[in-house]
Amino acid sequence: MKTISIYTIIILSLAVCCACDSEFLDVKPRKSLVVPTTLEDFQALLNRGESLTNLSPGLQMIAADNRYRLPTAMESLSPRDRGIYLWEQNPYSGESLRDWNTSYEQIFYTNIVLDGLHNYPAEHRSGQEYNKIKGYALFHRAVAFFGLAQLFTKAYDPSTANQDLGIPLRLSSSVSQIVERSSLQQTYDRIIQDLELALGLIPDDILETQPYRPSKAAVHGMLARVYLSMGRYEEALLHADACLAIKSTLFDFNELDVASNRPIPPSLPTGNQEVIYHLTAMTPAYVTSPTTRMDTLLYDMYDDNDLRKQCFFRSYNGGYIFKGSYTGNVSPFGGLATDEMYLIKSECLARAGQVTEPLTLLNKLLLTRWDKSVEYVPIATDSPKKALDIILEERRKELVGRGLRWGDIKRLNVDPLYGDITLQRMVDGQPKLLPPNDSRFVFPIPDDEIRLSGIEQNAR
Amino acid sequence: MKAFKFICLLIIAPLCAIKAQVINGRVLDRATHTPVQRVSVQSPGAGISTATDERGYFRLPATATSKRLTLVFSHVGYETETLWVETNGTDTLRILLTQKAGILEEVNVSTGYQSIPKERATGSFVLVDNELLNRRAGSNVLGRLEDLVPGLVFNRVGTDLNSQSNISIRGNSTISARQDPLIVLDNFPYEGDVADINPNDIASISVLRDAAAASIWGARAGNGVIVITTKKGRFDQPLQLNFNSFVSVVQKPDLFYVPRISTDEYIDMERKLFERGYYTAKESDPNRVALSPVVELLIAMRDGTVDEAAAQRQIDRFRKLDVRNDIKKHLYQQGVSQQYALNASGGGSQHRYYLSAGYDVNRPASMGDINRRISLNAGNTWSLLNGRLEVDSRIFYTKSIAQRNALSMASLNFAPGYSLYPYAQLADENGNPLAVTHTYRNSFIERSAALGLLDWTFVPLQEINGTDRRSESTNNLFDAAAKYRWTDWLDTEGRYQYGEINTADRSLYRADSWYARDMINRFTQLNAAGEPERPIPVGGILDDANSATVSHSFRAQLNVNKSINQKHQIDGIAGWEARWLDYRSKRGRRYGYDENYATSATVDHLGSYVSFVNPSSANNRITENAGLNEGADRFISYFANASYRYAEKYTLSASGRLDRSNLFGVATNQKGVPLYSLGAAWQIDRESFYRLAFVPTLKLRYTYGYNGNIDKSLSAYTTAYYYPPSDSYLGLPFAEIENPPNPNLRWERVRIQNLSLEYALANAIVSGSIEYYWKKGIDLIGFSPLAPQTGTAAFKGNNANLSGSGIDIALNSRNLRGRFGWSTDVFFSHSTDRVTRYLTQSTNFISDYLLGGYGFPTTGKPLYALYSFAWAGLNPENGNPQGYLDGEISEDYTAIINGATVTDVVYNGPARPTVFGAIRNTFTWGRFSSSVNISYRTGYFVRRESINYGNLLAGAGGHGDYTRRWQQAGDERLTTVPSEPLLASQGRDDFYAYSAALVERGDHIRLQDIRMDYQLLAPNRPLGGISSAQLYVYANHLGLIWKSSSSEMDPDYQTGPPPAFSLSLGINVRF
Repeated sequence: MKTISIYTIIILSLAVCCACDSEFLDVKPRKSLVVPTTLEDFQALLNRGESLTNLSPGLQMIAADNRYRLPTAMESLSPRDRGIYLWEQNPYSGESLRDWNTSYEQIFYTNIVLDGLHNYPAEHRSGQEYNKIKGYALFHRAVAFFGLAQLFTKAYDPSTANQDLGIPLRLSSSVSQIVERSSLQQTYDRIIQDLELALGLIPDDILETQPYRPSKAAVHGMLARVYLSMGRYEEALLHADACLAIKSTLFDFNELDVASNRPIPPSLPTGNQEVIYHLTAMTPAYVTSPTTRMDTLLYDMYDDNDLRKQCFFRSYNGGYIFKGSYTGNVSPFGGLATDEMYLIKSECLARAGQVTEPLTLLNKLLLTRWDKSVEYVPIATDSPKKALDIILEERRKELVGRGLRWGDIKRLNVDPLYGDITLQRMVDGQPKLLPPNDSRFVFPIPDDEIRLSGIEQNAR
Repeated sequence: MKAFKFICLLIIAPLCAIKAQVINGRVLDRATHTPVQRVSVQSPGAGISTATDERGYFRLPATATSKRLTLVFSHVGYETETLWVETNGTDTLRILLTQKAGILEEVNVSTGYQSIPKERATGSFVLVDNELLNRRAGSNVLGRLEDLVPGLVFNRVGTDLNSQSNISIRGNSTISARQDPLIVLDNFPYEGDVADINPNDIASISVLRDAAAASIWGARAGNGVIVITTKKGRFDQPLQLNFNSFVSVVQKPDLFYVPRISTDEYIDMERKLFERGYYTAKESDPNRVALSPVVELLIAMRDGTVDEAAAQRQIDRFRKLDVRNDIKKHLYQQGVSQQYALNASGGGSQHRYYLSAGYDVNRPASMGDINRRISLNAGNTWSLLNGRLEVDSRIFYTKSIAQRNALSMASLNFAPGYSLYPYAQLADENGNPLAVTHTYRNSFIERSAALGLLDWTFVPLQEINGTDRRSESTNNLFDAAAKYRWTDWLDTEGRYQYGEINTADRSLYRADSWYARDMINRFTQLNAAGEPERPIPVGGILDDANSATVSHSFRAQLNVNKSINQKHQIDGIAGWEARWLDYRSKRGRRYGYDENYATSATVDHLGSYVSFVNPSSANNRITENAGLNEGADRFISYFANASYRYAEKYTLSASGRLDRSNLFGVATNQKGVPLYSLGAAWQIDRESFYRLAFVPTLKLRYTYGYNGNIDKSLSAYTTAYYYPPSDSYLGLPFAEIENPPNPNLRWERVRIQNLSLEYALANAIVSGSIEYYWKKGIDLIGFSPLAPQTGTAAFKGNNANLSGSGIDIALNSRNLRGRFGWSTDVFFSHSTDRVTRYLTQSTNFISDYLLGGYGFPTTGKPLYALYSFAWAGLNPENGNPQGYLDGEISEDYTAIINGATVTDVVYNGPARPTVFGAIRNTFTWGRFSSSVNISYRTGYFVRRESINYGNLLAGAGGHGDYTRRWQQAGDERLTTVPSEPLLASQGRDDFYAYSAALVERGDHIRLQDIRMDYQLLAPNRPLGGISSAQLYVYANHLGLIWKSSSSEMDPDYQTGPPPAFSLSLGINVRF
């Protein structure tokens, strides 16, 4: 009997030992399933292109004034889009908001990458590839934060930014934690900090063949856009200039088939030489619907010899439909292009009191848009304010359909030089107004976010 | 590798064991000379006892004080025998026992780890013996369990195509993990296709229903366990041959089962739509979408390109046709299945064997399909070292070949969403195949042909030969086991199984198939000279998919069976088990394939091509249809199970199991979960105070415990899923986050309590059991919402609960015995479940609760539930369907649908039967016997189909309810079918389709099947080596006897006909 128990003990202890083999249980159940740990994994998480990485908000295009809805087609707008279009107090009808969700999904992805890079073995935490991916992630996160700030916060005003509500600045990938709203100052500080950091990490070479990837030009371009929106024109000028120093190509519209249905060459993969960084707006059905028309006053602002008039607009059933997206397809472009940099630089120079230089820049841009069979008369004035007025008008005309108008209105309405843009909709024959700096210029936080996280709602 | 050391140890160890002085003997049945196991062997004088093993051997230690001993041999099924034996004898004793008259053989159930007498079990086991299994004819062994096991139901709704079976045992236990029970073949989990098992090789099936029965399978037992036990040879049995064969004939399906509008109504509707200008926009559709022949004729008449009278005559000829007749005639045949099975078994004193071969060929009613299966099975057992060591080996081989060339109804659609027009003709009067309109307009096809494109016409009857789709699979299992008996009460065993499953699916679209011609044509580009250039070369298209699964299982186990002083009986097992399984699969496609030379061409998968059909669609890529999938399962488990029985009256049992697996990324200490059960049984009838003579058997059992379940798609770490560059517009590999981090992930648990009463009345005329159970699924995987700022909309984790309860009643009655015998077997099962915790709410009511589904997990409701909109009848003025909005009768369908929440729609009830069962009557008359099986299902609801005006008014035909629609005031009292609107409204259609008007009770009684058999030879009168021969007839799917709904449809079959009637004729011969 003793022998038996000895053997039993040996057998059972051996069995237990077999099980100690922890490697046995560390095999992946599916090989295509990865815990992202390598630089390739992190890069792959940022390769989702137009399904995530290269998306920008599109909601503001419904609320802005470049387009209008045919009164007969109001009913066919979804309740949420109608609420946004009519600047209602509670516009969403309880629906969730793709612009919010997707922007935070982008932030979640970048945080997974940044957390992963943070936990990367110390000895490998440098090197070009590591830095580049870290720069990419910081850039993508800053772009997403900025997109959210444009929609869900007031225009930046340095005197109140410490009290104004910013957005939740999620800096970790943990899903169990709720982040309260930051101040607007903190929001912009974070955006600038991320971009400045990215600037030092992203390599110098220009990625002409990969407009969906951030480049040094893109970081400068984004900084120029952010500083401009904050009214910090000196810094905006600096970065627009730096961006143009890397890339300043402009189309000659005379070489485009402006009469065709899609005159602008597609941004992806490489066709659009003006594109610095590619983003596709999350297109609300409102924008592409044939019962949404371009504002006729805007249309009338273009000279008949301005090729943009033909290139951007298509006559349709007595109205005009936008056809000049820089994506080269039906989706609006939300990325960075050289024309915007010319306009930022020109505006900043004019705001610094200059006249000749900004108008030279503007004329350089407009010449490429002008029918070459007709003589182009360069714009000229002596007054810096007049020059600024012209530049801002050309900004609206050139950057139509890029989702920038809403931010510009907000910015200009806190600008002491302007501050007079009132939006108007006709509802049942009655005008409905959105006066400057109205609280409805700030979109409310989506209802489901408030319900599930309890963060502070915007004043309405 | 450590595992092999262990095997070696197991084999070497016995050689070092001490030899003891013992009385050796063997107990055999007096009539058959087969071994009798579990015979109690006692020596009252010496106070020693033991029991025989499964080969009838026993060993009794001879602590001899005298030279002779009295031995008493007792067994529940045999007359007790008393013998005087010499203690110094060296020969093996041979004892013959006589069977008691009228007593059933002792029943053993198997858990896959041990075989235990049912009377000693505390858990809820159901044993389906060989005779019952063979009652049905068919090639699938699991299908034979239908209507036999209380609590086991074959689901007809909500079944998952990836699971091994559509069986539920005692309702639902999980929400998102696997829902089907674990299938065990002899000792190890069976991962292959159940259809690969030859039913003729199966001896019995044990169904493990509660925690005490199943918890030995731990984390895989949550849905119950089905243990399939194969046949084995017997020691000391001469060669026995058994041959079984049957032929089944299956009727063609009833294509008219789901009513459709008539051809006249169809054509009238097309005319009406044409007059309304419905087709004007479609005529210039850039995708050249096909229009039906009548519409084409109407266009031609309008344009004056056809003789009006001739066109009219053509349309009138169409009116007489119904394509369902053609389909039935040309695409269906009478189905025929054949099965041939031969097995040989036998054994000597030290060796036994079982060899079998089976061949099945099944030609279903759908023409072009055929399935074949070849199975071989060889098992050998050697008894060595004077019966101390038993070595076992078995090889199991199956090859299945399925040819699937039948045309599906969807493949005949003439345009997307348009099923074949009812006046289509598949063949002319002489049976010559005819072309039908398909996908593109004929004018476009003609124009393309003139430009040099391949012929684009579609001839359905030629398509059957145009494709060659087949899947082949081989399934190999190799088992080896060694068992060493240390003493009469202790043995150890080691088992190993190697499994290999290979499948090869191959779909060849030959060069003349429509699919290949269409692919080639769509990518064809006209060059500057107007000549066609073909990025996809002319030739066949071949899709290949292969998968291979290899598994190794290893188990070491210690068994104890100790009986002390007749009073105490201890049975126990303990062991360790490891299982590793690796799978890989790949698929790919080849273009320009030439069957004769097995060559193919290279195509550019990354290039963008302009569609020949619609030139404005410019970014078309030639699909690669390629993929790879590789992965692995790893399990390590520790298990133990023990029972103690006192005085054959009281039994206590306990069982525990710890499972660890490669559940991805979980820290090792959280990978495992201990699952346990406790049980007790009380044989009341053996108490001295028990006086109920008319109930000679009465046994009470109670068990409590946990089984587990696992959703391996989840992980504790952030995981991402990689996509290949070809899936990306950017041409880059990309990864999507699959799981946000979840450090608290754990396995699902199901707590089950079971209370049971087993009884038998005097002379065993009536016997049976009543079982009541409660179960609760805890930590089930479910979704909970997350704030959108986290970047994840919902979180999948252990945050749902489910509870259920039910009752299973079995009653077997031997009504008449003797020359004319009659017995009745009845079972009744009641099973309910409801979700008790689920954190997310539906965001889209209509798609989650109504469209095609059985409801979103909702607290307080069954997992599978049916909901509908409250019905306020038809509007007497216009026949519009009416519902309720804020308590008022309303026709604002958009508001009703958009505002619907789970609280204000009608909850009709469960979508799966809550009560089900079967009644089987068996009659015997001499050598003739017959049994009739009637099944029933109640307590559930089904949704009927009806007319969809959106489809009808798009010219796509519709349901036959159209004929019964509201047409004039007053009709609302006769019908619930809404009137035909001028313009279709999705809201109106959806409201009606999901209204309470179309929900009905599913309750029904079905005459499932009848079997008759006849023994050609009288008992004990062999004829030329044939010891028995049986002829049998089996008729299946006989139809409904009763249903509660007034609709003509079979409640369980709403979208297509029920399985067609089949008749089998078979023979079973034993040599």
